[in-house]
Amino acid sequence: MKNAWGLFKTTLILFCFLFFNLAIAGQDLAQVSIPKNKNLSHGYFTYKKFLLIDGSVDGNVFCMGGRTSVHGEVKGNITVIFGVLEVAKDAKVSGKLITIGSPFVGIQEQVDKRIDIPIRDVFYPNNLSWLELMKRSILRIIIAFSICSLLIMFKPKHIRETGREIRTDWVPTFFAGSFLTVFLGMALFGSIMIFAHPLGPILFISISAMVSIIAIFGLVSVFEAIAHYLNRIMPPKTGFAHSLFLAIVICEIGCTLPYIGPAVQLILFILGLGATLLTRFGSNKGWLTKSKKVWSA
Amino acid sequence: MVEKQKKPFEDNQFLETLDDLPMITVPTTMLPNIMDKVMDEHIRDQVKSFTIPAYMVILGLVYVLISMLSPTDLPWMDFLGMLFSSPESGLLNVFHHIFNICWQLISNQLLRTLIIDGIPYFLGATLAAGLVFLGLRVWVKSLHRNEKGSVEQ
Repeated sequence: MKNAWGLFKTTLILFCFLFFNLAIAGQDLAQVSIPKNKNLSHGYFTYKKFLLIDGSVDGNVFCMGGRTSVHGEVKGNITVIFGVLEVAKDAKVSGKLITIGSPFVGIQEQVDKRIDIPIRDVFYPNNLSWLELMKRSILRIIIAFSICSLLIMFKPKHIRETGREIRTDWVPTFFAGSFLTVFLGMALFGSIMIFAHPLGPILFISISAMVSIIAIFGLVSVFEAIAHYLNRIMPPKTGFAHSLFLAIVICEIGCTLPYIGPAVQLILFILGLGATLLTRFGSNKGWLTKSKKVWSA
Repeated sequence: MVEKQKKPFEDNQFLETLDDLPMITVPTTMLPNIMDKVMDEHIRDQVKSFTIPAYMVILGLVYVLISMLSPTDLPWMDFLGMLFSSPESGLLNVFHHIFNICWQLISNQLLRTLIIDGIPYFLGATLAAGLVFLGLRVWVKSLHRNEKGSVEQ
């Protein structure tokens, strides 16, 4: 009965992620325009929209995806991520133009004060051949397996403790992981929003490094936890290394499944982050207090 | 069948006596540390196996074989991009974008100046965050039981 309830909860969470993924896919570009006679006294944020600025904006403009066309005046910075930025000849922008993975259309004077971070889009074309997909999967499995083995060799107890946290208390781990995922996501997003400030780029790099370290440690713990489950099911005297390898292969297959793959990736990531947060990298010490081994005698 | 009811542990006198006892810090060379090392070796032994290099070699051979059938002419710098790419948009692609932005910031000479300009601000922000963390730590520690009268060995 308990197992059935657990299975139901897991299925429910999976479906929520699946519907979320389906909901955000294939949205049309809606147009948002600021007419000539309008003066906005604050900044503006759009997500996958066609933003047409004919009037004036007194603040920073931040656009994720979509298209942004400026014909009026912007008293601040314009940041566009994975979209298109157009600035007309007669437009006035007092701040910087920051384009991340976004093409720019404008005159040379505007190009000079632009900070451009080009992102090539050649690694995940829409129609990858199945051989190419398999190659990438094998590469990921090799890397994951080697990192897992190395981390278990160097930090055995820490990985075991974090894995145990996932195996025994996966629900609080999931909630803690969700909290940390949202927090780190917002931190990354915030650092991009202040990219025009000198603190922005270095903050982005340091947060990315932090996220990567936590994610690697967390994912190794998730693989270890799954390997433990598999070790119980598999025939007796099967080595732990076989279970670990099987766990990584199962996760890789789950992550590359159509529609459900992104949800699986997110769940694994959240569980890993949560376990790392709750056990403080497997040391089982508090983040704010240093617990000592104290005996009453 | 009569089930035995478990009564909660109630022995106030024992608990009071326990509270009055001094706290002793056990040196790291004692038993728990040895058990830690035994546990570490036990876990390591589970992974120490010829199967790990064997799996690596087999996967490597499969990779080479598929590469012969479907060659990729991507330079080595795009290795991470290739690793973090999937046909479905997901976290892998998010990481791919994050790594790509970081790589551009570090490798591009013009963009690198942005990072160098931000170092003083970053140090200031880190210092401020560290002070806040230390303050919180001191406050949380003050909420814990006072260990006055403890005997440290």
